[in-house]
Amino acid sequence: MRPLLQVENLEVVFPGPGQGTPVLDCLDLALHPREILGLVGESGCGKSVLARTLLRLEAPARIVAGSIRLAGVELTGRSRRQMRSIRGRWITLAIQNPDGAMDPLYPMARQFREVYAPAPGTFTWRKEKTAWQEHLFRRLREVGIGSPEERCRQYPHQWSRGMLQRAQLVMVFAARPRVVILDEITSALDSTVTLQILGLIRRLRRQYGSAIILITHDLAVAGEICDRIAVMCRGRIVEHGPAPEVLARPKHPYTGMLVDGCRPGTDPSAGMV
Amino acid sequence: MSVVSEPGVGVPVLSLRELSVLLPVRPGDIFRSRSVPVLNGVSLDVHAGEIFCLVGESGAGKTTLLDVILGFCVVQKGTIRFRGRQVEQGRGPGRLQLNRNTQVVFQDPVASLSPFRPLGRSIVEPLQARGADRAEMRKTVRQLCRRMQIPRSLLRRRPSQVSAGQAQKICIARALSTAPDLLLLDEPLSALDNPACQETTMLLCRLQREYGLTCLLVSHDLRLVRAMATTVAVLYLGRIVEQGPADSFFERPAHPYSRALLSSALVPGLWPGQRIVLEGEMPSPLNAPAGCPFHPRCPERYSRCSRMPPPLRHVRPNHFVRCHRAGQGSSVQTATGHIAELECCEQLRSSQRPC
Repeated sequence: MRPLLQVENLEVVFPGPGQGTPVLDCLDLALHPREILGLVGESGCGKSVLARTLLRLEAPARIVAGSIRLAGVELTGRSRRQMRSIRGRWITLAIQNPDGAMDPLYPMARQFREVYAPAPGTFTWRKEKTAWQEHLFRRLREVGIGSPEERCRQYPHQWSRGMLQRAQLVMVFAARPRVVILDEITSALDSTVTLQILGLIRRLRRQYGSAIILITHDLAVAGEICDRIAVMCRGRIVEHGPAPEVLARPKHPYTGMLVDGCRPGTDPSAGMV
Repeated sequence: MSVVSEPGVGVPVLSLRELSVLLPVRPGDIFRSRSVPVLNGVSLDVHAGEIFCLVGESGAGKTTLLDVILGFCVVQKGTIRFRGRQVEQGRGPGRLQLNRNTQVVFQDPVASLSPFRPLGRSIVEPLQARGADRAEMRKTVRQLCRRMQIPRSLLRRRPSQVSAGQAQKICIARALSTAPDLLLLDEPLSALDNPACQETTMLLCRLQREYGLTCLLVSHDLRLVRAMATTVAVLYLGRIVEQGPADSFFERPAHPYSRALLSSALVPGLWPGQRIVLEGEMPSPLNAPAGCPFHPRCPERYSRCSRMPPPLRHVRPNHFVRCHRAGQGSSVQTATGHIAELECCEQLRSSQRPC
């Protein structure tokens, strides 16, 4: 099956003395339709830069080589105007701190109005307000936000972190994009809420058929819902394969170290006091 | 009624009884203020050489409890005793004893180190505050570096020039520099990456064995708790809902919330059974549910849970739980995946003992 998103030999540098500081180095990645791909690595390895580069939001960094093909369409040469029509419809991004992405001065309904744009041919806020609201409330109920009519009158600081992440998921899946990138969306959440959000991601994938890249530093989270896992270290993918394979039989020593870090932290020479 | 230690094991290093903390809140209207209970009747004992782990999600009150012990927060009801001596609100001999013999390792290591001092000088900050001489400080740094395998080159650097894992190592060394009676650890691994987490966990386990440290560890990271704890207590909305020896807790958690926590930890081997996915999130203390605070999210709730707060029940030696279900003949899934009958409850032995 041809990959939906194909990254080949991607090289990205940050501006700096001489050639600049390389942050992504000959990176190869493939994402297949309807697949959940886990992208795992420690902080600083370049995961978030890769996520932004896939949306062509890499500035101030620069792509110096390589290609990104989404459904056969090359993204590296696109203009800003062309990318604006691709982002949101074809490929979207959700981030770790949704409260940072919301305007604190306006109620949630206004936040949704700004970004929630159902696919063209359906309604926009200006033309059919009631129908748009009903559509939004239905989506919010589907992701587990009860009484959305009251909730949308509240401000972002009145929503908990788990609810804000659900709101963000509604926003990114709104236009039924082919590829959704989730950048550390569970890292700031409590463990019981993380489990709820992971279940929700699985359900949304079934409902919308999108392919998902789940970026996380926690291999255990990736192992929970991902079909395949790619391990990233210092700007390159060092290992990739089916999730159970990578977790049970890691080939690269760096992957082995991450897998060991997931196990209960027991010192083999220690005993309980 | 409270959770008390077995008699005959000596005076606990730290003893909290029926601690209640109310914080003023002004929801909306600036002319009205309410007090909400952030901690509600918390009692625990930490014995010498014990690692007491307090587990809970955000909003449970773990940080408030540490603030109370350190004297940053005023207590409305309840007592704190350090080595048997009552600790007063504000200044006093009891508070002085506690402050002098307690050290803390904080959550963000880089933020808790002075950016103006090289790391070597940060290690001896507490000693310097006590007026120790330079020879003693140098000797302490040498010993700690040897024990903890801190390279000498690290001592000359500043906090911004080292990784979070290395900075946390320095913070632990600083905490051990005065050989404290009690070590408080506030989420010591949450700012670290996975490899640094494992290294730091092993370091803490080793130091605890070598120094015989008494620790009160607050964490939501069950990997660390599994590695270090001797006793585990679970905090939910300001109340301890379960407390017991670590082995007993991890083998057969008695409270539905504890089971959900172990299931959601995603640590291999900790919960091999089916995943327990709770609904909703921990409510705010402003909207605490009636009866059992956990009942709106509990998969095992029944009619009594919404009407009456559950009593404290003794389910195994030194293992207590606040749940109406404990003692009923219902079957639950245990950590090993087997279905087991809940133990019959006994009346809490301490109800016959003076508190």
